[in-house]
Amino acid sequence: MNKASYIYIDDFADKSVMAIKDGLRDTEIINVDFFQVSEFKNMISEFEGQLKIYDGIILDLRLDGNSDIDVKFTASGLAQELRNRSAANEGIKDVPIILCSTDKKIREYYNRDHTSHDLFDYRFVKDVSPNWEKIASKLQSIANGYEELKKYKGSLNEILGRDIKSIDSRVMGKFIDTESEFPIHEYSQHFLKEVIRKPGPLIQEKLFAARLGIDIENSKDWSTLLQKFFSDEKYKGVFSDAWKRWWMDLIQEKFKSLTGKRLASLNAEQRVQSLKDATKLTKLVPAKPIEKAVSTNYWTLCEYFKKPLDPLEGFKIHYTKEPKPWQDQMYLSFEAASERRGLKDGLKVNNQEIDRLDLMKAQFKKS
Amino acid sequence: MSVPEKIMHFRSERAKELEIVAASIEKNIESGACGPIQKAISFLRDKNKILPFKNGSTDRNTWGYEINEFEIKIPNSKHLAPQGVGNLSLTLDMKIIADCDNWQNLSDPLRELSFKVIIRGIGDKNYYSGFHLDKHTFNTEGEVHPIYHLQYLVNPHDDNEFQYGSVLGMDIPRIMHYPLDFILGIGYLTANFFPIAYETLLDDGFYYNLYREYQARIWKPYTHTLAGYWKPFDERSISWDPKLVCPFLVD
Repeated sequence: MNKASYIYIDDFADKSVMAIKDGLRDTEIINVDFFQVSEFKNMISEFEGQLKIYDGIILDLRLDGNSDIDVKFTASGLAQELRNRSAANEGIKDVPIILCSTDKKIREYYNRDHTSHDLFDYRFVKDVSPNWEKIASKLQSIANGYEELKKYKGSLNEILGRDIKSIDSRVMGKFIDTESEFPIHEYSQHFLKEVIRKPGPLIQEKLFAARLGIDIENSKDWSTLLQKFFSDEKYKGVFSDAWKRWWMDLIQEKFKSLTGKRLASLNAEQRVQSLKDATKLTKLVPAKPIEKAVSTNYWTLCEYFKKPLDPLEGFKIHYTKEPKPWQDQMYLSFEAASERRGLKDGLKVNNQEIDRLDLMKAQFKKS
Repeated sequence: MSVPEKIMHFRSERAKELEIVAASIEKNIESGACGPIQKAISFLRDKNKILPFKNGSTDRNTWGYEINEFEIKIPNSKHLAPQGVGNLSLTLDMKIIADCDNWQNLSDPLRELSFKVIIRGIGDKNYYSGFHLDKHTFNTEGEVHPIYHLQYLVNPHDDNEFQYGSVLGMDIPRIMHYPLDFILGIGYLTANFFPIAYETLLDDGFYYNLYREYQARIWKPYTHTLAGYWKPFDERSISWDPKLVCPFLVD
């Protein structure tokens, strides 16, 4: 797809709203036009008519905040109607729906109502100095993804860019071995939110480095290692243009073929040394443990520090939605958990681990 | 009677380890539903619960859990009989009680162990096989019982109506065997009955590190005790590969 065009809908049309439109537009990655929200019936007609040309929709969370216009619905209400009508082929195009709002409103309204989360493909916070380039790239990728999903007509091999026979069938969810046709947004929701954005069969760069035991910042050969030795293991399916991911099972196979060793059996120092010996890349540095952690048998990340962590030294995070069996659990390090870091971003220790955390804190105090 | 804080700390660490293994099983073995493990995890985290010994007594300084009816589907084995039997499943019932104080030394860490496995195959009817691994805690005067022993079960359900055919029912040898908790046990069972799943588990760092750790905690005291029988012990003269003797050992 060429440059994707999004329509941004808000209840206000003031400077701050225009700044969002311009911020995204100025990246020259996507095109964004603005449309001020009007009454519900009218909005539906607009989407059946002139707004049909857009490849995606950006909705402000609280569309009902402007007392000058008579609007009594929120982004969730509008998104739900658009999704229903597109699924029923009632003249509404099935396009990405993006949510944007202030951090405060997201915490006050969106985070409390989980039923609406499945309506949106992506959300971003419109606070001070957002990373427009990053957000625009994601939005372009999502629009591309919708086009690809339409083109692939449910072919999972093409969607994931890999023969799915070698992948845990649960990853494909309801889309495997079925005659049913699903709306594009259901594919998008599943693959983007459950497969790509959560660790499991696919992992992102920091977790990849952690599992190889590598300190990315201090390893000048990291990008060479990725390009020369792990390019075949890179995810090449839908949304891969903005979400860099690697297949974990292929990484394990490649590590074994390069070094003759099982990745999980080594600590960070051994993993890095084995890779250095096998690849002759000398500028790879083993990652040091997070403060108050000891083990370098890394297999996860501390979700606050985004640094390597041995899950045995970690504390399972609290989930609003439990991971699926084929997804990895996520952890906080003792340092982050005991200092209650990341609370603002919703990162907290799972209830089941609180007693263990308290006991460990008491032990640290004594020592 | 609630459990002392120090012991609860120990128990919560073990609960966390079981939780990691449960997640790894669910991830790597599609048929591995971990409800029975979750019960054991909750039990370990409950400071008001202490697992009683067979004689009904309890000790606040112990830790332990029971896992009942943990089931996984396993592939058909090569030498399956009678003909036509398939759809195999394996069910584990186990109980472990251990001393918190003997977790990092060379004493026997376990006070009680029962580990019973029943395998079911479906043909014209249900067919069963199984074995159990026990720790003998009672007086076995007149009989030679290795403290940890594995015994094959001809009639795993102790069925009075069992059709013996040409099988002779009798006490068969109690084979000396190293102890297995759940974490070592799931490795042992998959290695024997589901090798692909065993390899996948070993590739998963969430499981691997615990498998190694529990080998050191539970197998090391057992094997060091045996090796220490022939003193002086000269490790320099050992040339035999330990992994040939016990292929379950991991680095």
